[in-house]
Amino acid sequence: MLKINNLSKGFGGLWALKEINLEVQGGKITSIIGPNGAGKTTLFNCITGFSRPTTGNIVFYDSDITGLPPNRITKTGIARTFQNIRLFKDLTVIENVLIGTHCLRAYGLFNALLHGRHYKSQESLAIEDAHACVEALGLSDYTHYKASSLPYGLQKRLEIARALATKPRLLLLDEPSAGMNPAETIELMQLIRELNSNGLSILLIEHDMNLVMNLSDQVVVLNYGVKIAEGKPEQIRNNPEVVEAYLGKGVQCLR
Amino acid sequence: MSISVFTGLFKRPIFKNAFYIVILSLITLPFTGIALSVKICVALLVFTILLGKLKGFVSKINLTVPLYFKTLTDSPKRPILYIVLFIMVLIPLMPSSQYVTDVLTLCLIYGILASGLNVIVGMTGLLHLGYAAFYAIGAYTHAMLTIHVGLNFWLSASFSALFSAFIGLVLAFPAFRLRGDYLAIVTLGFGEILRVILNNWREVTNGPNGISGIPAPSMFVLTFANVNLYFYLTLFFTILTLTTIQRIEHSRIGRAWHAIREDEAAAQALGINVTVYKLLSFAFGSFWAGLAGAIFASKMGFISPESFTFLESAMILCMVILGGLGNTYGALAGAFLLIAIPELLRELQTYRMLFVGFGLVILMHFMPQGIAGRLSLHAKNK
Repeated sequence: MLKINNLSKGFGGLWALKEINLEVQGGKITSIIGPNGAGKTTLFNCITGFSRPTTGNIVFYDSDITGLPPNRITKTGIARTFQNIRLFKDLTVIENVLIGTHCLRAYGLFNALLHGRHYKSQESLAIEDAHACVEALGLSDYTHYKASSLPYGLQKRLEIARALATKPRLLLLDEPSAGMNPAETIELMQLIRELNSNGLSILLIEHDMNLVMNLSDQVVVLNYGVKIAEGKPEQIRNNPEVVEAYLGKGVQCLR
Repeated sequence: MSISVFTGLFKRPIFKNAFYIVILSLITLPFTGIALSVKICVALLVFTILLGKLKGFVSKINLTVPLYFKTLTDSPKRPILYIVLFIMVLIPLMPSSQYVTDVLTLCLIYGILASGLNVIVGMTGLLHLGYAAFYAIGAYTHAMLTIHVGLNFWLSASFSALFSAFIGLVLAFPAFRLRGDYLAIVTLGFGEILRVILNNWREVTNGPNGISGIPAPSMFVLTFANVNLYFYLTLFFTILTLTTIQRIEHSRIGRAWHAIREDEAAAQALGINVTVYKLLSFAFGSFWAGLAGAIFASKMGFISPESFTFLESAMILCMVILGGLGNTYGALAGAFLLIAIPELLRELQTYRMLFVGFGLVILMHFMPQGIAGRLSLHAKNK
């Protein structure tokens, strides 16, 4: 469904991504792993339009989305979360999620002003969707709490709920388990599995190997902006290049 | 022992406030004499106590409002607002209240201005320091259309508001890439440019002498020349402004504005076209400045560049911040406070702005979120 062809991204003289070729299959969970600074988040930013790739193109369901602004890409059905939580802190949980329904429920200025029939139907649908998303992520008890008042784990969930409100076909999660305790991570794994079983394709960046190996259908390894391996979790686990990228080469003793 | 009793007492907020107020009143002593200082002290004490009660009252409402109305989804039902409006309708009917009515009319005009600026600064989070320029555009457009073209008030006022919105859009185009301080400087510059143009383009604006002879509005046989009638007219426009802004705020457009204020990147990731909504916010906010300008021009019958200085922009911004950024009713309350208090303090003559300044500092110290607090009616603060 998502096809990345020869994607490169340079910052000045530095190549953050170098000729990446990648295919994300529909209905699967794909993980991107790699040491810090490998270009994982840059890849996410290129896919979601936050940075423009230097060369190469990105195709999503037969349409070229390279270089489109983020809001247009969201409309095509790609939603994302951020590595460091970016909620609307002063708004409530339900308001956060409602903002996610923005582009699905369209009506204009005058409709909003006159409270026309179209406005009412669209708005009630939006509220319904938002409540469904809040419920699906287990946040029903916190509907009218300020986002900033939630504990960390729930804030992460809220970010996923908000992304789901855009009704994506592909969900990009940037380190969803970062900062979570083991119990929360297990809950997160169940959640991701559940979302996936409902037909949502998921692309995730993750450092928690336990989560990656358990969940993924396919794992992609990046190092210094280059794709060094790709395959099923077992294949990745035993790939010498991957081990080298993470742990370094064994030093031979000369003496 | 006695000291600990004193500090214990001091920890209770009411005594802490009282302490500050007494100190403040002592400072005023050399300027005003004992009688007035005592008056000020008592007035401030009563004011803070009332404010405390009001806070308690607001938090109680919080619990009783049904959950549904707390979100940015539905138009809120606010019975207090209707009661206030009803009282305001009655005010001109009271005997010998021309002065009060006149001040209240001014309050309402500034209420329109403050709630318009609140859309830009409070909801969308774009710092705007040249808002008086749009007020001026509305006033001058209205003056020229009624005097030279001979349009009636209603047509001319709506055209002035639309023209002001258009200029807002034109200014926003180059400015929308900037944020925070940089945007503030651009808007500040625009405000100054406009004032200089008004002062120097004599053929059109008559320079510093201003334009006089702007006719009072009329409807059928009714002419709004009388103070009371003009008050009702302004009240009508204020209600129109508030309802419109409320309705837009509680739609996807308002939610998009709030999202942009909170986090632009996240808003964009959720499919909001940040550029378009910033432009819309600027235009929508400027629209109300234009309308207020038209109302002001035909109320006074005379306008000059002096009414639209930077001080005016700063004053309107003060109202918005004082009322609580992002809260439309707060902006209205801020306007009433900042117009009414200087009027109440007329007795102090030259020193009154000193006290208004002091009052602002104190208010912001104890209520850093403003009178209404940002969205305080929407969220549980836990």
